[in-house]
Amino acid sequence: MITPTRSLYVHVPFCAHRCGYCDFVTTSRSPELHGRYVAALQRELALQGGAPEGGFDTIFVGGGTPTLLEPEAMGELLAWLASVQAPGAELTLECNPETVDERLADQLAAAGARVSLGAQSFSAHVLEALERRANPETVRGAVRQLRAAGIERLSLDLIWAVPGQTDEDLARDLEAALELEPDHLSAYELELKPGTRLAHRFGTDAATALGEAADEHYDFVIDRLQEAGWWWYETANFARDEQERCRHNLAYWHADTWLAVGVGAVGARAHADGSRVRRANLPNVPRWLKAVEAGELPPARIEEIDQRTARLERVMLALRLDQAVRIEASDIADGIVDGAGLERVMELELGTALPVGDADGTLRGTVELRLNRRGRMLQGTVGGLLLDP
Amino acid sequence: MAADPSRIRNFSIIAHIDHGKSTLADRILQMTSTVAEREMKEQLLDSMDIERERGITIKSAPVRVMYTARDGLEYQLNLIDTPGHVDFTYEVSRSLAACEGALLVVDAAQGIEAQTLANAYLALDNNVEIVPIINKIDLPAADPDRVAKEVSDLTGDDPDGILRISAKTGFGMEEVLEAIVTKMPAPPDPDPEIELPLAQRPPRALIFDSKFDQYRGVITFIRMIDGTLKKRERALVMQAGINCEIDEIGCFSPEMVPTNELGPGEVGYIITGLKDLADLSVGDTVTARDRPAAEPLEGYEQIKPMVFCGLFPIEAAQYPELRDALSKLKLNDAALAFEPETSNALGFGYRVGFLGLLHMEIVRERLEREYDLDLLATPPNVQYMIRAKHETEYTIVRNPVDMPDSGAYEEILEPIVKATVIVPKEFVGQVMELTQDKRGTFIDMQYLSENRVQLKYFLPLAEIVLNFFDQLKSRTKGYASFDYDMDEHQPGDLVRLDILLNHEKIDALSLICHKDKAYYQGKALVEALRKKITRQFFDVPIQAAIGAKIIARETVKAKRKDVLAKCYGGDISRKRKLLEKQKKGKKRMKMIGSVEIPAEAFLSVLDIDSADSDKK
Repeated sequence: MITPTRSLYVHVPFCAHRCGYCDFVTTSRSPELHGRYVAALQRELALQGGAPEGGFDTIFVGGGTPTLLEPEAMGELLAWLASVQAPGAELTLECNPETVDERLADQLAAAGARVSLGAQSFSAHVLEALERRANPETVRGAVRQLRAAGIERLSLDLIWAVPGQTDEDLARDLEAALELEPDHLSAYELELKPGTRLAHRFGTDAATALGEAADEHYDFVIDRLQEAGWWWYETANFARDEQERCRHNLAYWHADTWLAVGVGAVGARAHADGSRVRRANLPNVPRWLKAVEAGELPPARIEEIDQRTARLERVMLALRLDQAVRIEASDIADGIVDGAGLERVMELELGTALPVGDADGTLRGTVELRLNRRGRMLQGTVGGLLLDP
Repeated sequence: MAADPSRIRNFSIIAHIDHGKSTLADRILQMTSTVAEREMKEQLLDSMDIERERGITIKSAPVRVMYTARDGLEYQLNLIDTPGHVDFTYEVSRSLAACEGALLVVDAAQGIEAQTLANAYLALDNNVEIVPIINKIDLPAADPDRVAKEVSDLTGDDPDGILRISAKTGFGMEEVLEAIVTKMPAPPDPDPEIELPLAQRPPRALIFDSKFDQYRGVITFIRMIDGTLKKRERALVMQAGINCEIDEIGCFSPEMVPTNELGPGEVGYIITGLKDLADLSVGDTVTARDRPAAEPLEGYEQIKPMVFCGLFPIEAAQYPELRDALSKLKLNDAALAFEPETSNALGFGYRVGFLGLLHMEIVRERLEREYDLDLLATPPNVQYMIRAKHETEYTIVRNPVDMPDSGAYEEILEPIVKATVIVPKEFVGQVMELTQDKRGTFIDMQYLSENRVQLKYFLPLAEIVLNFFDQLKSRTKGYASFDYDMDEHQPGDLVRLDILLNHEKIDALSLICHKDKAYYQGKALVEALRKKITRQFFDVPIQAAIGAKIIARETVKAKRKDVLAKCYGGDISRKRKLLEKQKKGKKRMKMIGSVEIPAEAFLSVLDIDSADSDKK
C-alpha cells in the first residue's frame, strides 16, 4: 500500500557565492531570474501531480540560499507554499545570517515559518576557513532580528572537525549557540566532498588526518548538549524537546516518501509493491527552467530502488535515530539484515536487541534494536555489520 | 611430407626487456605473411592478458613461418619467442635448447643491459649461434656505433657487420630474415656416424614446453631431433615411461595447424590425450613405441624455486578453490611449487615457491584474476639451511616461522647470488651505497664503454627479494639494469623478528633479517603496520620482538566514531553506496583474533625498504 506523500522539498539554488565546503547546487545568477524560478517551481509541482488532498504536512525550502530571493519573489514563494500546506504544517526555510533584514524576518514570521539558520561557527577564523561571509556578530544579529519578528521555531547549524578548529573554538561555538537559545541544533562534521574548494585546499584526506581529534569533537558536542538538557534525537541533530524535532527531516529518516521540486532536488515516490523510484533533477538551471516552462518534467536521473534495497534503506536510516529500530523477522530471513552481524553488534556492546511479539528468547524473530551511544557514534560499523547491500 | 632439415632454421629472439623483441617477432610474422594484415595486433605471440598489459613475455610461443630467401629456395623458420625477465631464465634456456640460432636484439640507444648479457651467455652455453641485431636505430637517441662496439666485445662480431635495423619501421628486416637463413646452422645430425637417413631413424622429440588447454588436455611443444613422428602413432614418453597415442600432431602458424607428421629438425606440437602435465614433463623425450629410440635426449636441469611466500584465501572457504587454481596454474608453469601451510593467524593456505619476485607477482595476479580468488600474500622470503646445536645435518627452512629462536641453532646459511648491475658511470656511487646497505660484497667493476659500467657483487638473495630492484631503479633514475645467478649458501648472522598484534604473535608477519638491521626493521615495520591497520573498537598495540625481547611498539588508537554527519533526502543513495563500498572493502580484510587487518598490511615489510630509500 502506498502511504500518501505528505512532504515537499523545494530547492532554491541561488547563492551570493559558493562556500568552500558546498557541493549543493548553487549559482550566482541575476535577481530577474528569481521570479521566473518561483513560478517554475509551482509548475513543476503541478507536473509532478500537485499537492496531496489537504496539503503537505511538512515543507522544507533548502538551498543554495533561499533567503537570497528578492523580496517579491520570496513573497510569491511563501504565498504559494501557504496554498499547498495542510493546517498545522511545518514549513522550514534555510536562511543565511547575512541575508536577514527586518523585511525578510517579517515575511518569514508572517508565513509561520520555522527557520534553520546557517551559523556554522562563532569563531572568525573557522568561518574564514569555511569561506563563510558572515562574522560571529552577523549570526547573533540575525537571531535577535528573527526572534523579534516573532519566529517561534529557530534552528542553528554548527560545523565541527574543521581544519584549524581547536577544542576551545568548538567549546566556544557551543556556548555561543546555547546562549542564543535556539529550539533546535544541527551539528555536522565537516565533510570534505570531492570537487569542493575546501577539499581541494585541505585534501579529502584531511578528515582522516584529523582522525582522533574529530572523535573528540563529536564526543564533546554530544556531552555538552546532553548536559544542557538537549535531546540527541538524530546523528547530527539535537532538539530542545520532542516537539522541536524537524518533522520534515524525520520523514527522510523514517523512509517516508516526499516530493521534490527545483534544480537538483531529489524526491522519492513509492510503488504499490514497496519498491521506490528516486528522482534527482539534474543540477542545471537553464535546462531545468526550459523544460518546466515548456510544460515538461525537467531532465532527471531516475533511480529505481527495488523492494529489497528499500527495506535495507529503511533500517539504514532508522539507525540514525534515538529510538529502537524494528528489524522484522523477514528482514533477517531475506538476508537484508545479517543475523550474525546483529549478534556481533551486541557482542561489541554497541547496542541491545530485544525480541518482539511471540518471543522465544532468540533473535530469529522480529527484534527491536536499540543502539547505545557508542553504537550511534559507530553507526558506520553497525550498518556494515548488520546490512548486506 | 616433412621438410628437408637443411631448409629448416630454428631460432629464438633474446633481448633485455623493452629492447624490441616482441616487435621484431611481430614484424617477422608480418613479412612472411604468416598473419594477415587485418589480424595483426601488437605482441601477437603474447596471448596472456598479463603479458599484453605489462608488455612482457612469460610463456614461450613457437611459430612456424615460411620464407623464400634470396637463393630462391623456401625455408621453414621456427621462431620460439622467449621471456626477457631474469625470473624466467629457465624458459629462455628451454627455448634455446630447441634452437640452433638466436637473434640477440640490443637497443640502439640503451646498448647492452644486464639481461642482454645473461641471455647471450645462456645462448653460448647452449651452443647456439648468436646473430646480434641493433634495433631501434630510428630513435633520436640511437648511437649504433657505440652499441656496435659493445656488442662486438660481447659476441666477437665485426662491429661494422652487425645488422642495424628498426623493427618498428621495418627498416633492415629483409637482412634479418636473410641472416637467419645464411648465418644460422640448419638442424644438425646428432649422430653422423649412423648411416640411416635422419628421417628414418627411431624418432626422438624433445619436450621443451607445454600448456594445458581445458578442452584438449595437455598440448606438448616438441622439437624433433631425429626420426619422424606421425599422427595416430603409438608413442612413448621415455623418462616417464608412459605410453600414449598421438591424437594430433602439427605446427603453429601461429594457430595450431594439424599435419600428418613432423620430421627431423621441425618444431610443433602433439596432443596425446594425456591429461596430467606431469606425464609429459619438459625435458623428457617422446619416441615411437614400435621403433623406439635407444636413449632419451639429455633433458633439462630441474628448476628450483628461489623465493617463497604464503598464499592464503581471505575467505577460508576458498581454500579448495585455491588448491585447484594452483594445480591448474602448475600445468602451465613447471617452475611453480607449492605445499600446504597452516598459519595460526591466517588458517589454511599454501607456501608457494617462485623463481623470483616477478614470477610471484604474476602468479598471484593470475590466481586472483583468472580464478577469482581473494588472496592474502605474506612477504617473500628465501630458503635457509639451519644446523641445530650438536647436529651435523642441515634442515631446510622456507618459512620464517620454522626458524628456531636464536641460541637454539649453531649455524644458519642463506642463499647468495652473483649479481650484475649495469649503469651509467655517474650512478656507480649510488649502486655501491645500495649494495652495501644490502650486505653486498664487491666482486669487480668493468667499463663496457666510456660511460657505462658493469658492477658485480655477491648479494644475499633475501635482500633482493625485498624490492631491491625497485630501489635500484629509483636510485639510478631507471638507468640501471640488473640480473643475477644463484651462487652458494653462506653463513649469515640472522635472527627471526616477530610481530605481535594485540599481544598475540602473528606468525605470518615474522621475518628473518640480519641481526644488525633487526632493530631498524622492527621499528619501521611496526610503524608501517600502524599506518595500514584500520582503527578498531579498541586500542591495538603492535610490537616487534626478537625472542622474548620487545624492540619496538606502536598503538593503533581505538576509533570512537565512524558516522558521516549529514543525511537528508538527497544523501540517501550516496549513503547506501558508501555502505556497499565499505562492505566490499571488508572482503580485503582478515580477522585475526579480534583484530581486522587489511590484506595489504601483510606486505608492509616491502614498504619499509622503500621508505628507507626515500629518506636518502
